[in-house]
Amino acid sequence: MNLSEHLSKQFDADLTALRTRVVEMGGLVDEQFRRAVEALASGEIMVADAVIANDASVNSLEVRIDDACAHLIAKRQPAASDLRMVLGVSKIVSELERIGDKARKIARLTGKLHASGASVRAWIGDIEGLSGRARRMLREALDAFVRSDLEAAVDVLRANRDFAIDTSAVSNEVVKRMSAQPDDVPSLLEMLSITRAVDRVADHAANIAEHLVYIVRGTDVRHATLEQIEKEALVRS
Amino acid sequence: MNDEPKKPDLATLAKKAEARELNFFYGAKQALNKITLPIYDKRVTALIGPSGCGKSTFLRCFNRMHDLYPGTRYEGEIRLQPDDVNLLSREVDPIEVRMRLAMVFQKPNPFPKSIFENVAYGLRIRGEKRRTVLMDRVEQALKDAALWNEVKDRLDELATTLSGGQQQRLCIARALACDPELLLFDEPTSALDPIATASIEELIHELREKVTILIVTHNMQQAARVSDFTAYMYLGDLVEFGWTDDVFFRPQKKQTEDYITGRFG
Amino acid sequence: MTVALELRQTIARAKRRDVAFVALGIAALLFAACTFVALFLDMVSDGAARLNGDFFTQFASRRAERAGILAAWVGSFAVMIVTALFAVPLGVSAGIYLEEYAPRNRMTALIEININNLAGVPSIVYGLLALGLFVHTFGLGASVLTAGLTLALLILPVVIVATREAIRSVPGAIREAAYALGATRWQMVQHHVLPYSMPGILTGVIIGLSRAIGETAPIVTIGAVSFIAFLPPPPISTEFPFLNADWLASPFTAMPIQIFSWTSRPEEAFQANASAAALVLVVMTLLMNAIAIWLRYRLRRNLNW
Repeated sequence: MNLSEHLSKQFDADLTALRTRVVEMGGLVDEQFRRAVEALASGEIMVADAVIANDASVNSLEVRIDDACAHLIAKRQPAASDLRMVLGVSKIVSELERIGDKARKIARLTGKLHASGASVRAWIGDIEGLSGRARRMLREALDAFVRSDLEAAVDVLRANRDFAIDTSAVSNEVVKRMSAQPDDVPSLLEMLSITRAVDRVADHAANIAEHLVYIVRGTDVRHATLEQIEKEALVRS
Repeated sequence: MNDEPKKPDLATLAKKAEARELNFFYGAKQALNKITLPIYDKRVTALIGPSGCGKSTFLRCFNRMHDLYPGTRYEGEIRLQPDDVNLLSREVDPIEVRMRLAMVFQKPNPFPKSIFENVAYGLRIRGEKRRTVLMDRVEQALKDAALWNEVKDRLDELATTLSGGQQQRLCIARALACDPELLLFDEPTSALDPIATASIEELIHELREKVTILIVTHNMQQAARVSDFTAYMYLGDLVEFGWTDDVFFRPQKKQTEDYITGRFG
Repeated sequence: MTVALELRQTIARAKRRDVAFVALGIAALLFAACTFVALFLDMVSDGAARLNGDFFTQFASRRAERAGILAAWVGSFAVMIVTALFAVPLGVSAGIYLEEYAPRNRMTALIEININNLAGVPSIVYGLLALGLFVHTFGLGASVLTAGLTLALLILPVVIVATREAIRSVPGAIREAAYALGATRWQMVQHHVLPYSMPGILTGVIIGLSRAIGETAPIVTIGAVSFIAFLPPPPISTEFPFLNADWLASPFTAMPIQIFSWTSRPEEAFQANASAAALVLVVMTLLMNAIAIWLRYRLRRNLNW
């Protein structure tokens, strides 16, 4: 990553502001997700409602950062690493917005789940554990972005592979329960949705890590295998 | 991993010319250091770099313009295909070299003669006297330079009455009239406004079908827009050469990156 | 407010100096112009009465009222033709060579210094040179040819310098454009440098000739006669080969000599003749300068780089 200064100080300031706002949005999204899971665990509908209401600010931050990207391209005609940074930021921001959506989804399902008063309590602990890991991945991905640290990015991608295995194990348990407790199927389906939402959060965190590889290396690794990415990200440095 | 359109393998591309270990000296001062650079046939190659990096000096080696000034010296070769002649060889007459190549300069420099005589001049010094031949070639060259429609009714008027952009296109027509094998552009738009610049760039884009082009520009975006290949030079060295797409999107060298992203200085 | 006030005072002080210099300049200009006008008017008042058709068509005479300047102006004219025929090709060629061909070394630097110095050599020295070389060594006598050659030598540096200046004003970009198309050095000079620098060269030539026409010292030195009652033979003849070079060997007189010889006569009437002839000479010179200016304007209209 090229962090030496531009001849144009204003260009530097614009780029720095852009990166700062990405981190700011990451923090906001992380908090939304944390509170959604907290509402799920505690059953506090007020908290869930607050998460739903707050999603609008996540969306507006996405729009504003994207707008800043477009303006920067129009005014500065960034090239090479600068161009990749701007394009990458735009992609990262849309991943963050989707994480925000997942938080809202969990918050909404929380309300329904508690209204039905079903006996899905047993899974809440698992969900809490998984979402803690997903949040850690998100924070690591954002940290990697701030430091342009490809090793950390690859760590996130590795963690996501294990994470996918663990979430599908939980999902399988839920599905098995459906045949045993046919009366609880509606709540179990909601539980399944929540599990998937948490899994998607981790996926988005992993996507952020992939975008970072693109920003730093200029290669698009969205459809590459983990081994290919490791090679691309680590060997050349 | 790579979604970009497939670029042909460099080994399969025909070279129109190639500089090999080219050194150039102004007196005792070395201005170019061992430049080795291929010029691919029917492609546009752009030379970029900060002022004084030697890009114009390099360009002017191709048509031996330095021979006009005392105290200049070449080492190494520039091979021109298909006959593999070394343009810099002492046995090769610079006049012959300049008859095979053509050059368009930084500032439009039409002769203070009629539009027709400007375009016909190269043919005249090649001994062409037949009026009909001259007329046909002038018309074709002006069409190729996208100027015909603007000047066809005023071929006898002074070239200096044209606008700056038209003058530069006239200079391109003058260069094209003699069917050059390699067309050299030395910052062709640095004296022009953005609209005229755009029309020259469009023209360069169209000309690549007909002729191999080597262009020096200090406008990086221009290099990105018009060229297939880009060479970045710094202090007389060739730092990086590659497909323009690659050089502008993921340059291999930090120096190139710094220049392209405006961090130079 | 005080800052603005100080600023205004500073500006006012600076402007007063402006006005002072303008006044000085105008005074200097008026002095020069008035002197010339006074001289010119004096000549007109003294000589105007003598300016009639006969004055131009009669030879010199002992009787002031019958004397004319026929031999003088024809002689001057013939000498100018010879001067131009020699000075222009030589001077222009030398200028082109020095500017376009000569290598930049000590030898050329030395030649350049010499040419510039030649322009400052007193004209009488040229006369002495011509006396020794053309009159005695070559045996050309006090002829039109000798005078023409002498004056050609005299104005050669002027022509060379003017040629070089004119050539230098042709932009390097034009030269490079011609070379880049494959022109040889001579093609470049013939097709571009010469045509484009022609206005400047012509101006230089005419300025040189207008200096030569007024030169007295060298012509006196080579022994031009002041009293002559015949014209050189015409250059065109009715017999084969229709051209005749005898006029070159003919003795002659010239305007400045005629004027000089009249002024040295005691009679008042001859002084009037001298004034009238001087007036003609001044008008001839002014006319040549006017032609130079007109040519430069005409030919330069096309050359706007």
